[in-house]
Amino acid sequence: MRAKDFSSISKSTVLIFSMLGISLILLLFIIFSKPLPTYEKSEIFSLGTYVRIYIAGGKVSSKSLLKIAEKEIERLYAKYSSNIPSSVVYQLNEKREIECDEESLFLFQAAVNVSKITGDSFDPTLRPVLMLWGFDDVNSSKRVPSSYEIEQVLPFVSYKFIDIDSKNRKIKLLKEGVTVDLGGISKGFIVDRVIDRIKEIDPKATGFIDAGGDIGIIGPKFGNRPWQIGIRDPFSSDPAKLIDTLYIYSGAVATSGNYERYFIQNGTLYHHIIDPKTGYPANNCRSCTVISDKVMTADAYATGLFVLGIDNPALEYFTKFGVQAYLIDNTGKTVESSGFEYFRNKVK
Amino acid sequence: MAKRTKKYDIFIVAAILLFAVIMIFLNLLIPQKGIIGVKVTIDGVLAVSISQDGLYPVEKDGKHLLTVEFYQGKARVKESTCDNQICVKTGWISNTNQTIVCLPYKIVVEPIGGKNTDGVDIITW
Repeated sequence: MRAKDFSSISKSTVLIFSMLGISLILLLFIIFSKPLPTYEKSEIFSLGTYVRIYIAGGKVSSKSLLKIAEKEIERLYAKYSSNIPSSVVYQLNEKREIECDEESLFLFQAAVNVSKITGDSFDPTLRPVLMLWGFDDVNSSKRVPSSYEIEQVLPFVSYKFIDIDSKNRKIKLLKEGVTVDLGGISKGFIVDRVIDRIKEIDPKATGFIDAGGDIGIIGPKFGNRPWQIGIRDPFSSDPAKLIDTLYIYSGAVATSGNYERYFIQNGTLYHHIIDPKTGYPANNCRSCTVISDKVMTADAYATGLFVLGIDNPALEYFTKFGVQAYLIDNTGKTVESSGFEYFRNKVK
Repeated sequence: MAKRTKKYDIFIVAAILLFAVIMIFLNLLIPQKGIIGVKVTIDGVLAVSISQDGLYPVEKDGKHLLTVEFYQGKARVKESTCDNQICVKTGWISNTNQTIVCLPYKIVVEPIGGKNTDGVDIITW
């Protein structure tokens, strides 16, 4: 009988203590667990494309960070767009020689460096050719220029005509007729600068900036998870159809594809990625995705490596510059650099 | 007393399990109808919010720009007067992380509601 009572008391005691234990654990969980960050988003038409900003602040409110990001994008776009009269680029094209700040010198030097490294497959002086095709602006009318017209402007296309005097903070165009357009690199550079600005204000902020498919990561998803980034299937007209998926905690991803800006004339597709050496659209690639630590690098190399094409024997060489690339040609054949596979793994 | 407690325990555990199973089945059986609507903005300003099936012309300053079609949880730009026609070629969208963008007119067709069924957060293109 005693044994039975003891067993009964013991059971009730265990039950009470268990419930108390669970309550205590729940209470501690509520007190010490941090709620998941709340993401705020903003969409603006800027940088010649559609920009999505997705931010969760750590110590500063997400909405305040969004406003700062939007203003910074607009400020930098006005500074580097070749179509805005007050911009550094417009002024250089008009005056032929300008004095500028460290930031502008850095961007011009970066553009020239990518041109050199890619063997002039990326060129910031391509503007006269882009204007002939109508690819200088989204609203310009597109047409196929004659081979004579292209021959006439090609002598003005070379990064070698840009003279950068870092000591005296001067940039000069060495040949009359040469004009600059930093569109192939400034979009990425601006996203990098905006991310730097956000991180200065709030180092714990997370999120991303997606400028027309060129993506810069502010910080991992919810602070500790990778962002899942789909690579668009270049053979589908559906922009949501994916050919691959990447898992990125930080850094940048950019893609150049022949489906972005194009027109069809007499059954032939003419796209906006022009080979600076020929003046015609580069056709040995359909899509080139680049992963790097900076959007500027990913953006410029996605264009340069697209132009170099799928049969580029030096693809691995570019990994020295912090670039991992994945290329798809018109037949569906793919090549990639050795480190690209790493970003396909969800668990690092 | 001990026996009675045991009986009730089993009953409570069984009830919780049954409830969980019913909830799982309900979640599986409710069909995924895609998005519940779309909002159309012109340069960030709301032009029209759509939640009923139909065709919706989008205009600015009296000029017809494009027509959005919403039908059974999916949306598309049926026709557009823009030059590049990329918005029309985008086709139907039915996922919450998809948008249709018309760059020349600065128009965005953005889903309302629905679930992210393809799993990715961002698309590089």
